[in-house]
Amino acid sequence: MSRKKAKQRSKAIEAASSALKEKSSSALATIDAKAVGAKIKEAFQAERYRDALNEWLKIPDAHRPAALTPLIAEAHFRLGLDCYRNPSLSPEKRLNQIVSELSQATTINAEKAIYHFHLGLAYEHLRNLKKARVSYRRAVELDSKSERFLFHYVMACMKSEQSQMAMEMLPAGKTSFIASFGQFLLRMKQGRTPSFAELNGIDFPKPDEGALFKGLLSLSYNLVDQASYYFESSLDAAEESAHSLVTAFSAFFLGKIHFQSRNKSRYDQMLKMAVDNGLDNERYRPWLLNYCWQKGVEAAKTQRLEESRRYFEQMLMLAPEHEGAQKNLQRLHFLAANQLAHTGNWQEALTIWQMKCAREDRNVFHNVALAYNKLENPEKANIHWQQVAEHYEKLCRSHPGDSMYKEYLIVAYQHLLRNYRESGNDSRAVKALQKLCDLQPENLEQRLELAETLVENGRWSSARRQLEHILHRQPNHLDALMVLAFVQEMSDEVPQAIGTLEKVLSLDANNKEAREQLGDLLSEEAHDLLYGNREIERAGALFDRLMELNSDDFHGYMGWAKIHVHEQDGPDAIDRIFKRYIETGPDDPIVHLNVANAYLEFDMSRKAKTHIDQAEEMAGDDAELLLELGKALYGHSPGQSERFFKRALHFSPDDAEFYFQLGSWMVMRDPWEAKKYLEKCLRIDDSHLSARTDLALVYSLLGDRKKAEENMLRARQIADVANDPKMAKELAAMNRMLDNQMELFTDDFFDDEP
Amino acid sequence: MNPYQILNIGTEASPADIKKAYFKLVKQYTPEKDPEKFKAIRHAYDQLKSLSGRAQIDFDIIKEPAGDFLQPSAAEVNALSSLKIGVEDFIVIAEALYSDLPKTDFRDDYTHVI
Repeated sequence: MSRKKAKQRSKAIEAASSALKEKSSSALATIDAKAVGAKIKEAFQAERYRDALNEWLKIPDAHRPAALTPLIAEAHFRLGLDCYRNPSLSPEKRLNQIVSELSQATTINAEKAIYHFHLGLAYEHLRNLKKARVSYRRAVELDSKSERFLFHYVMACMKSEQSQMAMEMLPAGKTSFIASFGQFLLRMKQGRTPSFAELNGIDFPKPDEGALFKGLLSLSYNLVDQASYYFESSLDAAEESAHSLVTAFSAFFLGKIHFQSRNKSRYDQMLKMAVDNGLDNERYRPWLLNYCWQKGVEAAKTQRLEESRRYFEQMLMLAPEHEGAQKNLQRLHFLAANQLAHTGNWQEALTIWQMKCAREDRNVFHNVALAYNKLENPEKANIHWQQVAEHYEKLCRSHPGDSMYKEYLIVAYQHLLRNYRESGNDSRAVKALQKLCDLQPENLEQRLELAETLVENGRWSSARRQLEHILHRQPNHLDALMVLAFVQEMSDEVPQAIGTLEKVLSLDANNKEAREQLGDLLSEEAHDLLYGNREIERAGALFDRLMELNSDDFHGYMGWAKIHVHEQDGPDAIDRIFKRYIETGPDDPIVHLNVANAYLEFDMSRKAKTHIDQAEEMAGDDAELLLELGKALYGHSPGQSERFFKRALHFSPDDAEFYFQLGSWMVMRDPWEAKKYLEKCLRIDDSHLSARTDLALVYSLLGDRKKAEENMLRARQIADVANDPKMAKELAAMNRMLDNQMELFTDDFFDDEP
Repeated sequence: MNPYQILNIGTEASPADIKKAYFKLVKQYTPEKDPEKFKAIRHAYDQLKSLSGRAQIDFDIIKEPAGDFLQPSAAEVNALSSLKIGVEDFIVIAEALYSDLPKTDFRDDYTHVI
């Protein structure tokens, strides 16, 4: 751009700017300043100071009438003062706004002493003593007769260590109360204790105030009796004139004197009077706190809990962070909650423990857990027992020599274990047991309980480890050996299981459970050998052992009979082996029934009939035996079988259990027949749970989904699954079985499975 | 009543406290004088004297707050015993009596401008 062009452009901008200014001025001139002024006055008189200021701002600077400026300054002043009473602002915001309004007031009208004075007060509230001093001084300069301004200036100077500045402003000689009192204080501030004559020369506005300061001066000369006298006089005078602040201070200093002379009752009386009359001064706060603290503890120890609570709450009002008061108050709440719990009001006690007591206190956790147990909420109880346990674990680590903590930890886990068991939480129960075993490695019974729980949950290898631990310490632990045999059996280690059970019997020959279990295993293993690997000799040895073990156990004889059939030894060999068996109970119908069953299995009907007849004759009117006979003949002679069933039912017409047994046995054989018997059972006993679930199964087999569902729902009601998680689990498993096998129920049929 | 209440002790009592309380009570309630009470005291002591027994009991009772009410320390109390008065006391009291700082209502200070 050329120089000429730039010059031309600058001139154009200047011209445009000037035109704009003229236009603006003429527009503003159109505002009627007189009308706005009237509006300002109207708003001011209606105490709408902000509206007045807004109207003022509408008038351009050049047109603002000077006559209104004092009113505008006053509006700012009043807005500032009114902020003190505005609770919606935080203290800091409030003070900043006050300073802002008052600063504007002093700027607009610098000649008003009261504006400067209040600006000084606001600065002092903000702890800006330097600015406060400047404002007070300006107020004193503008109104030298105001004792109020002078007092605040002198005090601000003293507080900011500028006594000399205060001295300059104080008029010499005894001109007023504040002047003489100010000089008195300044002399003290400069390190000289004034004489009583000087104090006597001050005209205090009220006699009680003079007596109070005389008492103070007496104390500074250590004239305790004289101080007491003046404070008592001050108290009397103040009480007469209802001057509560003087009463508060006089009582407080008298209290201090009594404290030193160990006159506790008078000290208490005086401090109470001081507190009741509103003594709340930071300088004397330690005294007040100490008084409330001691009184609070005294009241608590004599069971005046409500009174004690008031003292500690008062302390917290004076010092919100006071640890002693906080802890004591928490303790009081703790005791109050305990009282409620002792009267059975656990819910309310629980609320107090949780809301008002120390969160880190293990005794609080303990009581909360106890409350949840009482309120039958084991899951929430356990959250707190867990915290109690964690607390004791920490204590065990930090105090390894203190066996009491270990005992507590053990009991905590015992509680956890009990609750986990009650709420059906097996995996947590196992963890609690494992913890208990770690804590008490020598407690083998506990470890056995762990092993059994692991077995219940099908955790064979974990269970085996625990059992091995027990057997390492006690190789002949019978119960551990029994559980181990079961684990071995379930792990397809039948020979090992047989070996373990043989060991049990070598230690305890009469162990019935071991004999029965061993019998079953021997039979199972022998059959495997016989039909699997065709190890006839080994199978025979096992059947021999079975017969040796229980001479009246039919399985051994039957095993040998099967060997004879397998080896085609002919009917005589079979007869011989059964003859040996019959010798163990010739008059026992069950023996004949077993033999009859065996002959039926080997298609030797004629021989079977002989024993059926004998069994029937021996059974007489024994419904159960007749039932068994019916069952035995079911697949071979339906007519005979039905005859036995009818006879059995004839002898036991109203026995629900009997119908159930018959119905249950029939389920997979003839669902229609089973339905008939199960329904009969339920007509006699509507709450027969097993009959109900079997009937559900029957209906599912018959394809009647609706009836199956109805029966399962009824079964769940009977089992009270809401309160019996274990049963809920079992029924849910059964439902799954029905669902999977029959594809009958929908997936979400039972959605409350734990 | 739980064993602690029978022995009239707190749940935080030490083993020595338990023993002391027991002996004090059995002297007072001999088997001849009050056999039922003696039996109860004896049973309570048996429950609490072993660590595991006590732990079991402790887990079935409402626990009392541990420790005692906090009190001001002797040093804190002693620090209050001085009667020394200084200029600060005069200033504090003068301010409390004559200063406008504690006030919040200043409507009396409004000035007349209209």
